[in-house]
Amino acid sequence: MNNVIEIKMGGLEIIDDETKELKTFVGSCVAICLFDLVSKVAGMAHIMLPKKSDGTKFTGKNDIGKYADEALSYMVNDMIQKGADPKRIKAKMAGGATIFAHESETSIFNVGSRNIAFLKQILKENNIPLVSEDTGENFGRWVRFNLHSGKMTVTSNLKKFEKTI
Amino acid sequence: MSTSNDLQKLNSVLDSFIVQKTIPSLRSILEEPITHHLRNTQEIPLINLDLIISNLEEMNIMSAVYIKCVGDIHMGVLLYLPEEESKTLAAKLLGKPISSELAGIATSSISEIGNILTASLINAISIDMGYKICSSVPGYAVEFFRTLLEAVVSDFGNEFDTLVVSNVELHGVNSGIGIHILLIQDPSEVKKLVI
Amino acid sequence: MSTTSTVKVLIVDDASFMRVVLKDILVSHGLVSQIYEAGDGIAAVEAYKQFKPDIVTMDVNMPKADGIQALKAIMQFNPRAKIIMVTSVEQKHIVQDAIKSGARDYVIKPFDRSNVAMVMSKVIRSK
Repeated sequence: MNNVIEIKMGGLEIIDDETKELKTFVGSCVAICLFDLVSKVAGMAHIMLPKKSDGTKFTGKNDIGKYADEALSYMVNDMIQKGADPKRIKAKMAGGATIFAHESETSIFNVGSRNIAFLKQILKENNIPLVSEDTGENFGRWVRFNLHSGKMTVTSNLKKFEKTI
Repeated sequence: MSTSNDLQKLNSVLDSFIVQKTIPSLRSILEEPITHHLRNTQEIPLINLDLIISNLEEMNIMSAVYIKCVGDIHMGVLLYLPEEESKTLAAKLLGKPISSELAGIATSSISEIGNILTASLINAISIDMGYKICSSVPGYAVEFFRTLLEAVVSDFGNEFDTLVVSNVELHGVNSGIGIHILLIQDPSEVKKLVI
Repeated sequence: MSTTSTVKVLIVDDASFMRVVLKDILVSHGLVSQIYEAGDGIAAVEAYKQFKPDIVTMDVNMPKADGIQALKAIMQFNPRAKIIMVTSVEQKHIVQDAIKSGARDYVIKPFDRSNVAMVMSKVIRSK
């Protein structure tokens, strides 16, 4: 039976045990998963915001995954320490929904789409290929990543679907 | 971290503002007496936020309105009620049953309730304490509470890894309509309201 | 001065529900003959310039441009414009800004329907 590690808001976990799964819930936040299936190392972060505005380091407590720029940097470094090859690291992401909308449809509550755009930019800058994604729209998602298969499973309770990406 | 004394004082202050302005607003809208209950104001680490989700909230799809307030006070306001109840509320506001043709206006009516009740609280804070606060236009959603909470906290964008959370319940005595209001603030802002 | 049968009103509110409520008040009290609508501050100014209504009801919190900005722009275009603020915002500095900028009256939501009708009627009749 797989051990499931749940990542809370702003959290981040790295695993190098393929019997483990990473899981989180995202609405407008983004679940970003980096993985090296050869070395069997993976990380998942629950990203809340694009960029740490003031340049100070994270506190190293419970919110390492909060800001996209810090989270990705931490994940790559920690994965390499655990044996991942930076040239083999790939990404999958889910979430970044626009949950709230004004009736005029002016995009006001757009932190989700900003998170997605910024993450894609950082991945590109770091030459990390984005293999697949299930992002945007207007509903929350449970996201699970299985290190053994490399599959990301996305579930919506509202829309009543489950898909694998 | 805020002291429990500060949180208790904040609870009292918010309660007085709700009684002063929010209850009369809702009473005027629903044309019936209103009862209210402000649960304890607490400071919660982000990683424990899902502990505030009750079973009722986990199981039911909610109609929700979110408004972000910035300026001298930074506050997130989430107003929500079960989707089925929101249809009853919308029908009462429109004075007729909700058909598919009226779906847009019905949604708008719920958003406007959120707008008015949020403004009532902000007005009370501003008039009493002199603060200048700017509210966003209302955002509307229909989703499980877990999704709504996550989206609100994400949009609120606090710097710290804890949040101060207050949960208010308002009930129409005759109609039985119940509206929940979740107020979220940065711990650094607590002292502004308990001076 | 326009008679009731030829009064044109522009209702400005981002909530379609509010626009329906205000329209209903105006029609049921026989106050106006032509109603225009706008859902944000920019559309409000454009609609005012296009339709030249006799009276405007103006919300404050709206996307693109708020009601105070729209009020000021319309007053600059026509210093004799008749604008009634109809809003949930009661903060002193905003109320004062609106009145100083030329708003004829300021109605707070939630409002009493007959009170709104009375205010509208008074402003329509005013110079």
